[in-house]
Amino acid sequence: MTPDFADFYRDAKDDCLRTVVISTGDRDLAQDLVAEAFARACASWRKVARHPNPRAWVVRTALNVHTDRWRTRRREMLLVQPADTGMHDPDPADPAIIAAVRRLPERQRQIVALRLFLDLDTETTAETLGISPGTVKSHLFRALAALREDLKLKEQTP
Amino acid sequence: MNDTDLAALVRDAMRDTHMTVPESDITRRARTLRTRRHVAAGGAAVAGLAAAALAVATLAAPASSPATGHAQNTAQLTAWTVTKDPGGVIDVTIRELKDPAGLQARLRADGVPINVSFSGPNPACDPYYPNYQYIPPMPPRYLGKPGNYPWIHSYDNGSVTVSVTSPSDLTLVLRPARMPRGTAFQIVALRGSVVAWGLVETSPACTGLW
Repeated sequence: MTPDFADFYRDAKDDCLRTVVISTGDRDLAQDLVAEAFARACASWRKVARHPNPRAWVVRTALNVHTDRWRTRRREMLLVQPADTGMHDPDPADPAIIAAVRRLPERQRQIVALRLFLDLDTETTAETLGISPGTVKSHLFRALAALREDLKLKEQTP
Repeated sequence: MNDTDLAALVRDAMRDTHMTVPESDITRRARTLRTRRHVAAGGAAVAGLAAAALAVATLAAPASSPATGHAQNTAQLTAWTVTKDPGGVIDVTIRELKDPAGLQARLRADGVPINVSFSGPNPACDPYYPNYQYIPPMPPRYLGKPGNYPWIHSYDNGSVTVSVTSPSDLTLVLRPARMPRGTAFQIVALRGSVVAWGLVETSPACTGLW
């Protein structure tokens, strides 16, 4: 039986948003991207509901929309000011953790987000991002090592 | 700190991040997208994309080249020509909007998952978001000025290159090996003009048993 879109949206929206927030580093932008991705999912729900992982479809679509918009606006942004990559989440539960995640390269952030918030396995993460499973493993290993090191340094700082 | 603890920390740090867009806003936007898709793929696309399609709309003149002296892997008709090179790259030249079933059968035989319709969009074909492309706008200065050709666009990761080499020739260069898994190609014409092409989802109703 095809799940109802309303149920899917209710159950998946926060995890998808958290994944895209981590990936893009901007909460407001992420919410806009995820809303657009869910709207596209809703518009093609008959197809998306049959997807092996509709949440991954939504996140992939949100990231694609982000890429498309970035390409379109790149010239304007360069003329105005450097892109603000700050995390605009007003009250993250632990700013140090978020800051540590933010310092990771974009691809590592995406992989961490997909693994942690969507619980995707290596194969599905690789398929979602269009990269090889080996690349996913190596990026995840580096990302976790960097996070661990970053947080350890924080703990040691008086 | 092991990986599990680290993951829990990151998850916990994001626990207060919630999507605040109501579902009603999402479904309203979805309705807009559906409407736009149907309009673009349907008759309104002819008006909206008239400028872009003009070069193709002038394909009335039948080709004069004879169907002789061609390699074995070339199928040539007056209306269209399909050529496959040893590397699997397929050239499709459309001069006249005739025999869509024959064009579709020929391309499928050459290994291209495809749906060809010269009578409007096939409702069984779902666009492959977000890569579906309609004919990109052609600058007006190109219209009716053969000296401005060729006009070439390549997209979908190079899986298709579209070129208008003269006012009476539309050429698609298809590279099936570069098409994302589970996708097919679609060519749609309506009222004498090619109005859309792009990637769609493969399905028995749209592209046969692929």
